[in-house]
Amino acid sequence: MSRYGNIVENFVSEHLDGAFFGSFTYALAHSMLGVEVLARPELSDGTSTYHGHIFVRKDSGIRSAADMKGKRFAFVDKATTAGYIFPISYFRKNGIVNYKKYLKEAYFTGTHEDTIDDVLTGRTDVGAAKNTVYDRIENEDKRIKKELVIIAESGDVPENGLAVRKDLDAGIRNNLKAALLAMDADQEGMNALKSLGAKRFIDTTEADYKYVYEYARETGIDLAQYDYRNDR
Amino acid sequence: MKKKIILGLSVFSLVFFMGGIYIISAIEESTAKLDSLITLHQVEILREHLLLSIKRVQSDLNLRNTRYARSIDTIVDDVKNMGQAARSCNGCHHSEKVMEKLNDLQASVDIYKDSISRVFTIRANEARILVEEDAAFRTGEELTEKVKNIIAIASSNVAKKTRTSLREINNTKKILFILVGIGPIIAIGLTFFLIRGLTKPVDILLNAIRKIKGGNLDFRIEGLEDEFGEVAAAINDMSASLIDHIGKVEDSEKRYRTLFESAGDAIFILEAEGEKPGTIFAANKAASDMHGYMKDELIGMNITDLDTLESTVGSPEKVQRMLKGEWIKTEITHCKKDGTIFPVEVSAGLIEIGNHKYILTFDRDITNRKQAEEALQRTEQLKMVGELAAGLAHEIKNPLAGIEVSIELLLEELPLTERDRDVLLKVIDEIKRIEISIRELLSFAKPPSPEFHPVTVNAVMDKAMTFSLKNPSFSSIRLMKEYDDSNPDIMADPVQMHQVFMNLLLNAAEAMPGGGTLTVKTCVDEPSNTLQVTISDTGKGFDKASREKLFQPFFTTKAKGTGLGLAVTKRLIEQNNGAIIAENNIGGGASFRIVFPIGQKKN
Repeated sequence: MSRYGNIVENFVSEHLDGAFFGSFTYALAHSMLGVEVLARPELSDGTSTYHGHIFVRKDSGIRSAADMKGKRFAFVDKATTAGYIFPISYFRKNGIVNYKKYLKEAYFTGTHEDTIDDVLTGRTDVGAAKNTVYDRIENEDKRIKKELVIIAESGDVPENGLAVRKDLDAGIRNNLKAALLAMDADQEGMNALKSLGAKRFIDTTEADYKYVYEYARETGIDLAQYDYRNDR
Repeated sequence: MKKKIILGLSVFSLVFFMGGIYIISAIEESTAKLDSLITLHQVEILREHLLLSIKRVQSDLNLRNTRYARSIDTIVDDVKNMGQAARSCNGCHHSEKVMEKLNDLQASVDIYKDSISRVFTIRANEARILVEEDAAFRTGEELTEKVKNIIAIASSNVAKKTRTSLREINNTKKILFILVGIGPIIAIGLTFFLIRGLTKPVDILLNAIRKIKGGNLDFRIEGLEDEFGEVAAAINDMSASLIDHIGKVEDSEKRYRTLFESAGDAIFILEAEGEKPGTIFAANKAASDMHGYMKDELIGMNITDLDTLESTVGSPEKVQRMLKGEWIKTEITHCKKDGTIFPVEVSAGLIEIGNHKYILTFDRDITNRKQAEEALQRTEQLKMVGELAAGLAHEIKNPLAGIEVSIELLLEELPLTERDRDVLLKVIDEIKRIEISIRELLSFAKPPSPEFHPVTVNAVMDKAMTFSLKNPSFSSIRLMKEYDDSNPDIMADPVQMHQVFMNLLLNAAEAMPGGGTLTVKTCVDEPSNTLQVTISDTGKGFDKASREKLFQPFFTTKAKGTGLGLAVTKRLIEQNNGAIIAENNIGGGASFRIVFPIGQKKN
């Protein structure tokens, strides 16, 4: 099962006109269904992007891909940028084509939080997760900073972009986009933004997903044909 | 009392207010307890629900990868339910210890949820999945145990609390029943107490007033307070003042009764109104003594019952006059109980006592006055007759003397037969008798005025005796003298005294025609300072009728008496300031006692 990839199936089955997509699920949806991104919220702390982390326990001695040979690796989900696409591309960049053979064990925890927890509790040796979750847990649990160390970081990708279906009327699409971008101009819009935890909507285009497409290409993933269900 | 009533009502209100407050608060408390019990039981259900939801998640976990596995959505719902069940536990508890436990439970639930989430989201080799599944299952079992423990502890607490609450509610119920039961009794008791506080003093006052009305004026009310005390004090004062007043009235009544009872005149108070005017209402001692009735007999009689037939005739008219307000004075005759009739002077009139009319009469017995008046009248008559007789005697005396001288002359000068001579001598005798009578009548009717000199009574008496003894009446009489030699002289006419003694000695001798003893006694009576001379005989004495008329002129028991001797004697003694008393002797015979005052000066 996957919570991340299901959105693509649901978009079709529910005949949606638009939805917020994660970075990788947008890339999938765009490739499979042709949805177009319009804008994305900028959060109150000013962030509108995230990136992936690859991390280990400090006492594991692992500091590079080479150290990971024969170790256990915890991914999040096959349909996540930070929790799968980025670490796979990281292995490729470091010359490891078949990570399954290189590693003693590779598995999907299903959530960023579990991945971080598994590394922290030693149930695995290496983990990959998005920086926003990592930072949050790091704030909640002091052991993260003390006992874990980040050994690789991905490039920034947009978080939660609002995309509409491919065949939506161009006029509506343009009006919607204009309205979204102007939401922070009036009080009503500000209130709506606040309930989303956002400061404003910022213009978002295919270019912002540069790294997603790059990592997918590097790892040889055909997005249009991608089987996003996790395997073992 | 006002204060007491206000206080009583306040206590009443306060008791009811407190009772009301207690009942309301007791109901509130019981309701709150029941509420908390219901809540506790709800919580128990919530815990059971939590336990069930945990068990369901456990079964979700166990059934995973089997034919009976539930859909992922169902499982997600189950986990959500479990989370909600756990959170609902935090809703109501406040105790720190319980909160700690619940927080711990919440943490365990969160850990379990994470474990379940891991199991269902993880994609790894079987070994890792088994490990995760085991871990999740163990966590679930531990959680189940924890919840069971909490349920066990809480259940026992709830049971305990239920028992305590029910017991307390039961107790409250009992107290309420007692209150509801006792409340009216207290109210009745208080009311009774209050009413008794009012009626008891009123009873005491009523009782006291009845006693006072019954005449017990010495009765005093004690032990009352407040306004009743003041009333009691006023009644006590009234009693004291009544005693004082009655004492004064009684004193006054006693004074007037004494006056009434000790009056010499008979006093009657007669009814002047109603059907029987004249009914005797009151009479004094003099009235009863005067009429010979007991006082009780007089009361209720009519005043006319005392009148003689003759007096009764005029009485209705007199009563009418009195009723018109006239004060009448009249002389009538009354009849004593024994039938004796006596004259009374009546002075009577109308009086009014307390709007009631009475007749007040003063009756005076005037028997003595009447007798005195009659005696005086008779004496006056006698005097007049005497003077008439003396005048006549004086006119007869001279012709009679001429007749006597003429007959004596004829006797000497005429040659008469013996028989004629005897006739003439008899005529001369009769003429002499007429002369004596005339002389005595004259000395009675016009006695010569006494010439007062000191007189030695014993000596005069001796001389009179000597003369008397010549009289033939003394032939068989024995004379006895009992003189007191220390007698003083008295002032009197010696000649008249001599005549008095002579008359009395002769009278005594004539009273003893068959002989007897004549005793003459002289003595001084110190108490009355008088000289008394008693001449006693041993004759027949007087009968009652003759004693009353003894000194009346012309009264005589003797065949040849003039009836003037004792009358003249009495007259002479009285002219010499003396008195004479005739009495029968105890041993028979009569005595004449002459009393002269000693130290008598010439009148």
